[in-house]
Amino acid sequence: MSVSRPSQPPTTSVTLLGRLRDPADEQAWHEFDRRYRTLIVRFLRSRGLQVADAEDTAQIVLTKLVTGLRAFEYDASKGGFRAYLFRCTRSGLSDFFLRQDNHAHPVSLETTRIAASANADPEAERAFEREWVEHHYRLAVERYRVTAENRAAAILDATLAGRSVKTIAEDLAMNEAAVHKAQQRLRDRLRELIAEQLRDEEDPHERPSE
Amino acid sequence: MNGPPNEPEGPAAAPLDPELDRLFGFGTDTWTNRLRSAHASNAHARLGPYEILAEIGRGGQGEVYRAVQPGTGRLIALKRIAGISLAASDSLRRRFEREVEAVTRLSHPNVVTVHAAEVVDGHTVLIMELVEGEPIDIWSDARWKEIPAALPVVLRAFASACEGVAHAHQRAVIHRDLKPGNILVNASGQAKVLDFGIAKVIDESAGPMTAATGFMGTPGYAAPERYRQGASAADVRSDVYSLGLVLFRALTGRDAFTARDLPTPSAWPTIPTPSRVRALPRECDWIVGKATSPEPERRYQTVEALARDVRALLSGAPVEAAPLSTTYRLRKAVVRYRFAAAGVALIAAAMLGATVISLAAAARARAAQQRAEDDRAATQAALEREQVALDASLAAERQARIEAARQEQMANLMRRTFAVSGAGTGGSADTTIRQAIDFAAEHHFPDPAKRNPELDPLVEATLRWTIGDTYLEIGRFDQAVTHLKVASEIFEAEGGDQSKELPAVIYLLGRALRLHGDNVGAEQNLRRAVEAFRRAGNELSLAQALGSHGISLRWLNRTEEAAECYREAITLYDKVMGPDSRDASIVSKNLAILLSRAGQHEEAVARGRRTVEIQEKLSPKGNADLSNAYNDFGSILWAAGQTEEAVRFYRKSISMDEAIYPKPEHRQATNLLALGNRLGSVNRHEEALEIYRKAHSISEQASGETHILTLEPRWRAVRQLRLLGRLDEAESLCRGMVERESLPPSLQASYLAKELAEIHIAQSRTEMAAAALQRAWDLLPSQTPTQPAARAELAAMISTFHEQRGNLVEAERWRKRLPE
Repeated sequence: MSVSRPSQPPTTSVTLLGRLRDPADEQAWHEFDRRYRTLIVRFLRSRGLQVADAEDTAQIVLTKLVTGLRAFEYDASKGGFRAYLFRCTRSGLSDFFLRQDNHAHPVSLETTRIAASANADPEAERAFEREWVEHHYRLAVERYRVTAENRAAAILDATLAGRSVKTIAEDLAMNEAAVHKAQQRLRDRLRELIAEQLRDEEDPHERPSE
Repeated sequence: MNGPPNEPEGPAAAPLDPELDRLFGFGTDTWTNRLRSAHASNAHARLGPYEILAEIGRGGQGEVYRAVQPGTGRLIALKRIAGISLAASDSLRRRFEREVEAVTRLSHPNVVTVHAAEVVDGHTVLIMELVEGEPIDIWSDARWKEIPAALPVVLRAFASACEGVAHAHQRAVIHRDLKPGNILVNASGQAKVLDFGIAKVIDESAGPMTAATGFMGTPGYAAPERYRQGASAADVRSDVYSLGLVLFRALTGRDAFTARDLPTPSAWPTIPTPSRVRALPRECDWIVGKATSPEPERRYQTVEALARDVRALLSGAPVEAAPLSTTYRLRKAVVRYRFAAAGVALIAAAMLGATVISLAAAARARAAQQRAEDDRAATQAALEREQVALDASLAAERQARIEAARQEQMANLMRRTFAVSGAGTGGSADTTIRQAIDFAAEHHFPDPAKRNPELDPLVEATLRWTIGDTYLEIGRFDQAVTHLKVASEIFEAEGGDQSKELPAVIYLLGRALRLHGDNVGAEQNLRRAVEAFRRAGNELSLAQALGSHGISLRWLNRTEEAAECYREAITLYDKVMGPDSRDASIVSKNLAILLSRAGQHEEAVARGRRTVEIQEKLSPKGNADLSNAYNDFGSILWAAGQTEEAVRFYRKSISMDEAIYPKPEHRQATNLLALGNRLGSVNRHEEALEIYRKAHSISEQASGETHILTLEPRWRAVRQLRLLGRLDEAESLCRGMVERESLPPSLQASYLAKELAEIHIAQSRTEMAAAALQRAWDLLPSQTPTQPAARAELAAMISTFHEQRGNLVEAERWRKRLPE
């Protein structure tokens, strides 16, 4: 099913996912962990897990993810990395509930509810999608700040605080058109950064040849 | 990174694929919302004691967060209301608290529960039930895309939203800002309405600012009178209007008004008919049209009436909103072979007034022609029925004017009553519907059993019907019975079997009688109501009446008949309301319990299981209903001998109770005791012991150590310990309490002392056992219903104890205490 050409040397696997397949690339594993652990934990928390349970489960999910990615269990034709990430996380979630059930402890109400429907929960996928979008926004903002000049950072902060174009203009002594322009640049840059992040989620073995 | 972020004209942004652009909101202006939301869910890690998990919504009124309640760990929704500073004014704060109190009293499956309002970090915050669902506009758009025949699904969800709003209206809470965003629909198609009364709170707090603009609410969904007269003009009919527009949106996939043609007080654009936007039955046009009439008087006068029409459309019955079209009525009448059309004619005729006669004549001619055409094909029997229907609707038309006048009189009377008492529309929040009804009852009927000669009989009957219905709802059954009895007598005298009101009134009377304890009277009236609804072809009412009739039959031990009623009711509910409705699930539970008691375990278990599944779907976060369903199903399983599963469901009920009750309650202890006793009876002492200990701790917190509900699990726990051979533990659990001089006598205290005696007997400490037995005797209360039996049993036991130890004198002394 792989479309990779023999002429393509393995060193061109520049995406994070590609690097992850090289067991020697420890840096890749750390980067992957840094990026996705929070996302997984946040999602699990949003499904009602306590902090400790969410962290334990995230650990299991991450291990599963890396093993799966290395064993080529991940098949990009089935909806891409986001879908794979979701499937792994959801299966971690239902495993968690199964364990709970076996202990037969009186579990919390929320847990009971989700346990009954962990796999059929139509809200779960939407919630995951929401977390995933927010996750990429946060990642992009974090990267944006690293290089942003004072003015650009001030525009970002004001936008985050939900201030109107008019007040931003007053506060920063700019005209409204300039604020508007600056916000458009912010949007374009975030879009670019997010596009980069998403490329890192692609599998080099599945990328169509240009 | 490719250069500084603020480079003027950087390289064109790498294109995301369009699907991703949509997801991230880059295609539109929503990207700033996503960005802020991502940032906010990171920044607001806490709000006071609440842990924030994510922002789930943001609007003009403030932000909504998904959060964790401290202590319980329960997921809740927090709404931080923007722009209200309660610190500013005491009177504002009081008004706010009053409004919130009214809202927190609402409890209905179709209303988002507000637990409380708090001031957190200087912000006013509402703590609400967390609802997973989509706004009804987005939800219905998806349904139309997914299923070709989405209409019933969409209508059912809408009707459920109406039920939530109607519940609030009955408690004098008007929403004031109904719009798709305030109606969330969950995965099983049930709607939950949120933000009751918030519009009023914000409106009042904003003070002069809104007084100046004169308008609060969401443009495009607010009723015209709100534009003209401001928020104070809102009454239940303003909510009817907004719901009409919501229905339009859900049916057609577009808003009734676009941003360009938003209404103004001077120009009120006409709302397009839904069937011009999408292929829909014309009943949809009529219902939307009637609900959204610019004049409040011409709308449905209540949300119940709107919901009734939606249900009528679902069940194929004629809708009240239908214009006077005799062909429509006749078609429905002929199709259904029922009289229901007559009732519609009354209202339709009343609406159209003068045009009745000419239209009717034309329609008669058409109908006659049609009949002639059908003659060849139709059977003789069908023709006869059609004739009956035709006669009935013609007779109805003649009565229409009289009826219209009466309705007018009635409406005026109710309005005056409410105006005088101050309840209902825009009045003081201190007056409740209940006070208004009390006022109306005392004002018009100082002696409830006596007729009021000043009122037109039908007006009196309708007024008493309303009063009786309300008393029934609020649990004053004796008063309900009195008023409903008189109402039913009047309707019967005035209209006999043709009275369209009579079935509804005798149904309510039957329910009131049953709840008042008169099962025989209840059974008779409910049977009549069932027959009448069956004749009228009103399936929803028939289902309700059958459900109630079944209960009254069960109380009279007529099991077979009761089961038959329940079964028919369930079939009807499934047909009218779709599968898995709340009503069907309640009747189904009653049937399961009935079958279980009658020994038909297999069907009982199947029914019970289905009920639990439905209830889980209806209340995914759990509530008292679901806990009860678990507990009832536990009993059904236990009776069927499926012990393990029974225990599992008892436990589910118990853990749900823990989650839903904020502090220990007796009800929890009662559920625990039920399970403990069952486990003890099959020698599972360890488990029973654990259960009793839990029950003990709950009752102790709820009502103290020596309360009988606390002593009950204590003596039972002691007994389990003794049966397990753990005598020392058993002794230490009961001895101190038994020896306490201040312990008040009770059956439970006496049992505890008896347990102590048993322990001493097992320890071969005869003297101490004898003393404990004496103490058990002294602790027996002198006045309880079970007292003679308990006394005899204990005396016999003590006598035998002494006899076995050779102390014949003592044995004889105790035997003398036995009854002859």
